[in-house]
Amino acid sequence: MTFLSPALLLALLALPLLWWLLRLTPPRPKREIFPPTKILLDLKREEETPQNTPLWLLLLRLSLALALILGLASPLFNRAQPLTNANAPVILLLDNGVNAAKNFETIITKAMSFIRDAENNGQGVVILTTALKREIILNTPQEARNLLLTIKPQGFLPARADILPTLQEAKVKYKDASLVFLSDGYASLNDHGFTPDIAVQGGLKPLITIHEVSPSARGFNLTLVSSQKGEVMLNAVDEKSLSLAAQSVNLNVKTTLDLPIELRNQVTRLEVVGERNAGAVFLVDRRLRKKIATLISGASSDISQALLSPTYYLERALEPFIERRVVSGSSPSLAVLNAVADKIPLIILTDVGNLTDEAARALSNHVNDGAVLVRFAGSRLAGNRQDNLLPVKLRQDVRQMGGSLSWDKPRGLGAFSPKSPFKDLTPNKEVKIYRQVLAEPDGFLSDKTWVSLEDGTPIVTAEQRGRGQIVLFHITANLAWSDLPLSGLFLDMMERLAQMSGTSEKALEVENGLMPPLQILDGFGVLLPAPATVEAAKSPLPKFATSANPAGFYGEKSSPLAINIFAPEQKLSTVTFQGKSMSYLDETALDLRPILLKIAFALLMLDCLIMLWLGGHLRKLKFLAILPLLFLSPVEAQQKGEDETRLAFVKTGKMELDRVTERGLIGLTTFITARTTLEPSPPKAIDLERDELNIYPILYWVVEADTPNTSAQAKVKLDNYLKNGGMLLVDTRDANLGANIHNAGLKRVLQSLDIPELSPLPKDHVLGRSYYLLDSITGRFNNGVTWVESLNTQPDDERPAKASDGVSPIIITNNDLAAAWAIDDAGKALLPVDGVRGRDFAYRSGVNIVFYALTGNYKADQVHAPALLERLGRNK
Amino acid sequence: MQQNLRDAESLTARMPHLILEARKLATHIQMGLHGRKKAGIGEEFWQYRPLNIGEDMKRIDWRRSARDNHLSVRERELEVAQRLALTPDLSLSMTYGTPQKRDCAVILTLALAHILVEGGEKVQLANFTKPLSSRHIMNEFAQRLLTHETDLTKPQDANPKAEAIVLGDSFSPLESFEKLFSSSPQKGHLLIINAAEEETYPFFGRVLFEEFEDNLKFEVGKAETLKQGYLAKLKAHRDALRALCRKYGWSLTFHVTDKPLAPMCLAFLLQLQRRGA
Repeated sequence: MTFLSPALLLALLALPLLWWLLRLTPPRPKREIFPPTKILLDLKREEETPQNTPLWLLLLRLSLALALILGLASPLFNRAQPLTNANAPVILLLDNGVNAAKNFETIITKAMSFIRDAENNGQGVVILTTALKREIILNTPQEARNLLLTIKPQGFLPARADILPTLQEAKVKYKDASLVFLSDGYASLNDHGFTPDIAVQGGLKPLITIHEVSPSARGFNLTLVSSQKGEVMLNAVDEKSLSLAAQSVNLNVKTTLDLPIELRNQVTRLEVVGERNAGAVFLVDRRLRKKIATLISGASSDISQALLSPTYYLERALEPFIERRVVSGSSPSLAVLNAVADKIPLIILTDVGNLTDEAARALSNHVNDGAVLVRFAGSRLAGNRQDNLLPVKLRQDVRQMGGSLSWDKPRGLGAFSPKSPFKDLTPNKEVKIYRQVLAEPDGFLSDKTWVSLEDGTPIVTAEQRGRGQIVLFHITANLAWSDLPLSGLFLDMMERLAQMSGTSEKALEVENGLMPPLQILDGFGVLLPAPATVEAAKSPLPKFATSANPAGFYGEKSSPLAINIFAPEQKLSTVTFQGKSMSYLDETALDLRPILLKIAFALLMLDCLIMLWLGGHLRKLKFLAILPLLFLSPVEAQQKGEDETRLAFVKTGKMELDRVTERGLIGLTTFITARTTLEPSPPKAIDLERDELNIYPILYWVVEADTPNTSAQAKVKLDNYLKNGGMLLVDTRDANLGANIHNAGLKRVLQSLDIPELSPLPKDHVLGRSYYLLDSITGRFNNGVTWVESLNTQPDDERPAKASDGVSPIIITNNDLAAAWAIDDAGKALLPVDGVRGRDFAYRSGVNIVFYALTGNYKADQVHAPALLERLGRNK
Repeated sequence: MQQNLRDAESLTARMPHLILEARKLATHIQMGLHGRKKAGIGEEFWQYRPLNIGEDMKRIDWRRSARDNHLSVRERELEVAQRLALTPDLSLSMTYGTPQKRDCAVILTLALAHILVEGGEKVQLANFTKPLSSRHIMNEFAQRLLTHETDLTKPQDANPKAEAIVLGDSFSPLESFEKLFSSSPQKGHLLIINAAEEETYPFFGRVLFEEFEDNLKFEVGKAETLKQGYLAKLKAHRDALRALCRKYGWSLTFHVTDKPLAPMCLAFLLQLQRRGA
């Protein structure tokens, strides 16, 4: 136990004086003029009146004074012996690479405690960081504190060895200075020769990082690496930060995140939910999304019927997972040369017969280098069978099955070879083959056959050439020779082929070689617009983030490329430094000052109460009833009453969606509290089946296409709610799919409710006037339509769910309002919003809706204000 | 002295209001009073009767006698004029209570004086005035009350034929009451006015009790503990006072300031009438 201001302890000497003073001055009695005092005097002449303060009160007051004096003397409990050399400055070296982000607050707190020690010892402080070079400047502790707050973790993995020259320099400048290193506990790119005097390590929360991301058939393969075990939520997020899929993932296990193929290609980010660490965010660019193939057709381009085009079915089949470049009409040889020059990994030739020698040689080399060549047969190929680029030798004739000149019947597909990539597919019995080119039988034919007909003749053959592969379909890619392109099987086969082919760096990169930064991940894993300090990335793109090119998106806006924190093969390992070592868990000195001052304050309050009680003012216990309220925060006190106004939303059961909605309503509540006199309590999640609805003025309900029907009971409740003045705000959050609301879920949900006739929000509707002047109700999207009760109906109509005063009981929108309102605990927006000032207008829309729900149509006259003003002017 | 001056001032300021109150009270009460219903010396006409032989000629009512051949005498209703001496205690201890005991005493004094004078009695303010039957008795008394201090413990300079009406609180020692009773030649009426607080003792906690008249101070840590004793003592004092009144034949009436004045005043007057008859 030490005191930071021990001089104040001298005040303790005054305590005996205080004792004496307090003893002499008892609490003041209440003065009462009372004529019959004489009677009282007779009555109690012998009773001695207390002239002194009671002992217990005396002790109470003395302990109050004691707590106050001790508290002001700033006692520190459990203060460790200073490790640093007290006669020289302290050099604080902080890890601020990506691995420090998750525990950055702990690191900063520890650094602060070192600065406090330095302050007590009168030492100066030099602050250095591992990720960014800083100048060696000796700061006063106060300056150091301010400086510390400006340090942010960076979105790349530093090399600690890079800082060694700076450290040397500092050591020379300040002899005997102790180097205190606050480690993040993980190895950097290069820790060689890095030996701090004092290393603070251990006791930090373990990181979760995403590694080994690779495309899978339907999504991504990845491993979440962490030193802990358990499950975390993995979120796949699109460009607008909408969650496309969330999946619970086991740590340290190779996992596949499966997505529908269309969604998969929209994924721009994989992130571990709740992990504030850029290593838990993986940026997905087009290299992980689509592969590139070139389709080269030998057919002339004058085929007017698309369905007969040899490439039509291929294009359709490859569309979901291949970015394809179709070349037809021009010379196939030229196209092949181009494709080889671009290093396209998958080249598909449909019925291409002859290639020039140059093209054939180039293609052959390209295949040897690892490309996949897929060929489809056709009349041209059949006519030019002397081709080196075929897996098998072809016979001259084309076999025809069925038809007027043949005894053969069309054949179905036989077995798929277990060696082929199609081994897990089942042959479709309905597929019939009418014609095929036949392979010259030789000893290797069966090895090369991937698919054969029922009678054993090969229909797909393949051969390994170098690192590449040549695959031949003995049929055409259109319907001329077979039904295969019509079947789903064809799609699956194409997908397998596409997976076989690798990606081609060259083909994917921007030609001029310099890629400007677009968005940069900060250390916490938040995508921010790239600051000016980030350099353009040079081609070839770095495999992992560096200080010059931190993790983020680079290149063209339309199809950016990503630099991730870790290179694919990189592993994160922990590191322990030699030398004097201490843990983050080592208790920093406990500052008793606030505790003692709180005790003093509590004693003061107690003393006041006792004074009131002794004076007879506390006779009525009514006063005591407010005591518990003193110990509640205002919010808690308000929550006691359920009659507080608050926003509510209907639980959908989808975790992520409900979270966004709740955060959204919290955001709106915050906004309303800041901007208006309304101060709603925190929002509440409502279960339509169980909860009471009538206490909420407005109910926010996200209805998506798959929202299940509610029970009849819930619908009756909802109906009652609407008829009794409640308001339902339905959000289908799908304006990105089109302005109009076509939502199966909405139809289902609203079907049995008594909903009045609706119309799109008119420009002069009260909803646009109830607080802010707005033209439309917007959220994350601003192109959607908002529907309210139609105002055209006659007032004497038997309107269903006619709200008492013409206020629309239901508002339907598809602009995804809550997502625009959503903020995190720190008050930062969760999701991006369309349009300039989009979020501002979204909040205003929210305020208008809430005030419309609360105040009804009293602002309706605002709509007529121009007319009224004009009339006033005319009368003048 | 200072205290007394301030006190007098406050009474001066309040007197018009008190007079008004007294007037209101008086008119209210008068409704309930009647004459004596028999011939005598009075103002109200009672009956005509024939002149008896030997009667003084002056008594003939000539106006009535001129109507016929008989000489008639006009008889008036008998009114026995009582003499009453009012003694309100306006000492410092009476300034206690809401409304003040003193205010009550003043209102009652003025109202009683007025009602009694209207009823044909002669009323005096003990020590200050002769028995009066002036119609302006209220103003007369009010002026006297403002300029002089009355104290019921001082010797009474009253008309020996006058009946005494003493208004005050009950906290004077019994001896002073006995002195008062014994010195009075006539029977009298004691009207005790107390404040509500004095009856209920609503004190608790640490209290410093003060009394100005004898400059008494008394501090107590827990005032509520004295309640039982106080109430018992008060009751004993009252009982003793009641016994004393019975002994000397005085009537005793209690009033608490927070109760309405009129019913008590009416009851007191009726009691006065009964005794007078």
